[in-house]
Amino acid sequence: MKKKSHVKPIGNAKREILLFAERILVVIAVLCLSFVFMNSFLNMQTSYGAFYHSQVSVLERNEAYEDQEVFRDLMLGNMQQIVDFVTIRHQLETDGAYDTDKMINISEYAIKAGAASGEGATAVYSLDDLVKWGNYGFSYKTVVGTWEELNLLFKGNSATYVNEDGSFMEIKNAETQIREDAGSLGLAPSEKDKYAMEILVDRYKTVNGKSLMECASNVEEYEYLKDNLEYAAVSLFENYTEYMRLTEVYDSANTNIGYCLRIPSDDRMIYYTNSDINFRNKSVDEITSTVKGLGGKFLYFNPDKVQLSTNTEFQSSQLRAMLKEHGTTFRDDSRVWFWVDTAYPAADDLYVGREMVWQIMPYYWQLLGGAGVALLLAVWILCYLTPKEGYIQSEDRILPRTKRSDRFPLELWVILAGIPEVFLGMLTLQLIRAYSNGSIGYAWLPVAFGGIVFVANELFVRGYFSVIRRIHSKILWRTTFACFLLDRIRRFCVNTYRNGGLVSRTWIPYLIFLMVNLILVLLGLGGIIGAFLLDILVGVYLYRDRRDRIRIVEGIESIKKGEVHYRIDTERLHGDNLVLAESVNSIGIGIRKAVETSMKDEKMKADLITNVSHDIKTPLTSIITYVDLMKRENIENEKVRNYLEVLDSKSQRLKQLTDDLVEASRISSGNIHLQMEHINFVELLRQALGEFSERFEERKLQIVTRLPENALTVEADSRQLWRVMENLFQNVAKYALEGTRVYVETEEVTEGKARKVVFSAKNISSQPLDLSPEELTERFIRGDQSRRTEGSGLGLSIARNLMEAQGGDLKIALDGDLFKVILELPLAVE
Amino acid sequence: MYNILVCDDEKEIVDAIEIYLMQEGYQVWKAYDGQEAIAVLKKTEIHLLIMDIMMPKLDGIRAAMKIRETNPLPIIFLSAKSQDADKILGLNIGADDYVTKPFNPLELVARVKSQLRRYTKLGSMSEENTGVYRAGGLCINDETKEVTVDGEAVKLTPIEYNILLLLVRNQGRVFSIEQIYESIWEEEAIGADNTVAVHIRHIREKIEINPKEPKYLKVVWGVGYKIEKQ
Repeated sequence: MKKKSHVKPIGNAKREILLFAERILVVIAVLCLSFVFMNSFLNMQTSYGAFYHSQVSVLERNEAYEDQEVFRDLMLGNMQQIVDFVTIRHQLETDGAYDTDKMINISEYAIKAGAASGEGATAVYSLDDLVKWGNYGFSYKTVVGTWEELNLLFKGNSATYVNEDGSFMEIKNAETQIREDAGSLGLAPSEKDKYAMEILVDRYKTVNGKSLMECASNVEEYEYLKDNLEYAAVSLFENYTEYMRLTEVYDSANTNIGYCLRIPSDDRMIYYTNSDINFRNKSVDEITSTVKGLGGKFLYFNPDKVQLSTNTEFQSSQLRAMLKEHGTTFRDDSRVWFWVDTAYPAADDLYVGREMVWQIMPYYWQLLGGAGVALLLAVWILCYLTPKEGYIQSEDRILPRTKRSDRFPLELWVILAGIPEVFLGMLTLQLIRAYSNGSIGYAWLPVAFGGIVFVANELFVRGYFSVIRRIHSKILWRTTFACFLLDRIRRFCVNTYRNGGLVSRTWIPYLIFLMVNLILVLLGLGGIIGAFLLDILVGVYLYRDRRDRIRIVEGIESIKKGEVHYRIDTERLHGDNLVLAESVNSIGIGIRKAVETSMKDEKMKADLITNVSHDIKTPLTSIITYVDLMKRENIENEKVRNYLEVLDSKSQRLKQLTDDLVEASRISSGNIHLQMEHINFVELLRQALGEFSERFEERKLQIVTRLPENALTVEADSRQLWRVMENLFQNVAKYALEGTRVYVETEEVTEGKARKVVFSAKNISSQPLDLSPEELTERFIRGDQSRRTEGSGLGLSIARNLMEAQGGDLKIALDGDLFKVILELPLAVE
Repeated sequence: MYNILVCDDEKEIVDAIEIYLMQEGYQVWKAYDGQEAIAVLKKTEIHLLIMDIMMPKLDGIRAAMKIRETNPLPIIFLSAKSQDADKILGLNIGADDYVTKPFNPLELVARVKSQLRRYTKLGSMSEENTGVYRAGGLCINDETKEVTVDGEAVKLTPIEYNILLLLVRNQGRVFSIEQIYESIWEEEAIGADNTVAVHIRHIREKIEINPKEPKYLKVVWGVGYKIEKQ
């Protein structure tokens, strides 16, 4: 496992403190940002009635106030207001002063204002009367009568029915009633075809001293006049109050905006201004240069040519739109000048706006910087904790550690944490919008933002660290829902496959493969390419499967040959091959254990025999030595001499027996070291025959040899091979019937590709052989069960073991009294 | 008069050996473990040491190693350990001979004699003549046609003498039966039988103390015969 040794886990307390600091920092950053955000808004009550708010763009912050949007908005609002104001002035003033006697033609007024249409009767009242009328309101009387009767009230007859003070006289016509109470207009059913009509009580007379009824000639005209009068009176009163207010607002002492609007009236030009400068009788250019000369911002607009001259950023279209509403007032030759005293001596909208812009200027960068630093610190804390997260110090080792919640499926976590995050984001947008509209207050916006970001940060940090812990513990993939799902699918497939029979394990995958191929090919070119790729994949899979199988077969072969330590590498095997390889390995392990146990047992046995034989040899030495000493005494007694002979031969046999025993156990336990070399088998045989020639002669055995002329080279340990020969010839010398011939033959035999030396020795046994050849080569078995002669009976056993150890073989064939030993050794490869 | 120290933890064996050696006229000193042997060697001038390997207190191998540090006397190990590895170990740490139990008393006596002759006479055998060939204790004088082993004359037949001479003159070289036959009989060895092998066996019986474990004339099985270069 790759381990980053430099990562030192962090203590829980320290981690909690850092995380707490991170939360605080994030909230601080958000508070800073929300203050910046809030302070980039202007909220003010303007003189033109609207509640103004605007965001001060970061980009405009360093521009001059007059170039900022705030200035433009406020200026435009004020200019519009001034245009309205001037329109009212034009209405109410004569020669620059409020004219109470100004005559107002009510129908003309209503038509101009768009409240009435058509031509008809009119009446002219004095301005003051109308304003007062509008102020105090109107009162009515109701007249009821037929259409004809009502019309009788007009056509100059009105005087008949109306008194000097405006009250109605009693109408003589019995059918016409005038009710003082204006309220109950409900007519009785009998009063069919009668109409109710409201007659305005004439609070004021026209300038000619007429009543309104006298100005009308019929009911329709009267209604028309009445409507116009009501409109004019109400409208003029409103204008009057507005006039009074705006006169105050746009007094040169109260505003920094100067204006001069030229309006043509009849055949002369009227100049409306709040300046002391006398513009009358000055040319347009003169006025413009005067205005420019004031040193502030100025603006000159010619509505005829839609021509604007200014040092502000206003567009001519804005001015045109402004004047359009009052098109009847601002006719042909009207001209507009505005200027601003940029020293702002008066506390008007522009001044307040400028103050507010200035107010939000300080701390802006500090707050932004603070937010940035706090955010950077918070990010740094996260970065610092990231490599340490999820590790704990356990004694002197660093171990990855997860929490219970880290097992929760990752996707569900993302969804469960993501929904609130999105919700919080939307809430934030709503809050910003609401604040922009001014519908929520200044104070609790930071609180709301702080809360939202705190919660969002909490969700994020917890999720983030959970992911980090999963990565460090290497369970990121395992804890995903996708992994869970894939695992389930895989297990299902594997189970189906495992538990399925031969058919479902072979034919079903094959059929699926064919089907997929077929479907893909039918899908067109892309499908054919897909099928091609799939087939390549399947081919690679089959190749790998085959290769793995070959490896397993190699493993089996190796184990079969005796390499019991061989192990098949199961690292990259899968499925059936894995099962197979593991089985082979466990068989190999079993064999190895068995071999090791038996080797150990053999070795223990050999050691035991060796040790016991040492212990036997010591007393035996004394026996042999003292028997010899006794023999040296000149003993007369024949019997005693015979006894001594017996003791001598038996003790010698005991010696031989122990030696052979040690030898046999050593060889069969594999506890001998062979020095293999190339030797000539024929030479060795001759040497051996030479060694035994005298012993054979003693027994009168005639040796008949049949040996090849050439050398037969074998690979063997020469001393051990001599031992084999020695044992065989000893056997011959001991057990062959005296005076018989012994046949010794050696030849080269080719069996297939293997060439080998085959040696045989045949002799006639002096005793009947009632044992099987197998028993003869078993330990402690001799040809004669009676065991009368010398020897331990281990000779053949030792010889066979030695031959086998050298890669050869020893066989015994019995045929009656014929005893035949066959040795086989492979010829050495030159 | 030679002083021989016999060391074995079996008192009876020591006594028996004493009898044989006294019959040959040697003075016998006895010890029953390695420490006693070392103690005796310190006090007395000993000419030869016969010592068992498996003994209490201090075993033969360690005792021999300790003795070899100061004393060059011949040491013959007498042990029940009969395996090749044991013999090689014993000879390697400085023993001169190795006799396995149970032993043939006469063979032991012969080996004692041989070692003593070599030990005492080695220095005086310096008069080298031409035609004298040596291989360890084996000496052939081609002038007088005399063969001695450790100074003791050996009687050989002319063929045996020639074979031995051939081998001694070419010490260390292995001669096959065929080569020996051709150089001695000076005729081609067609179907050479085991004549040479029989002669070799006879030579061994004459010059070796134990012909089965030859010291001079060694059989290289399957290859031939040689005189070990000493």
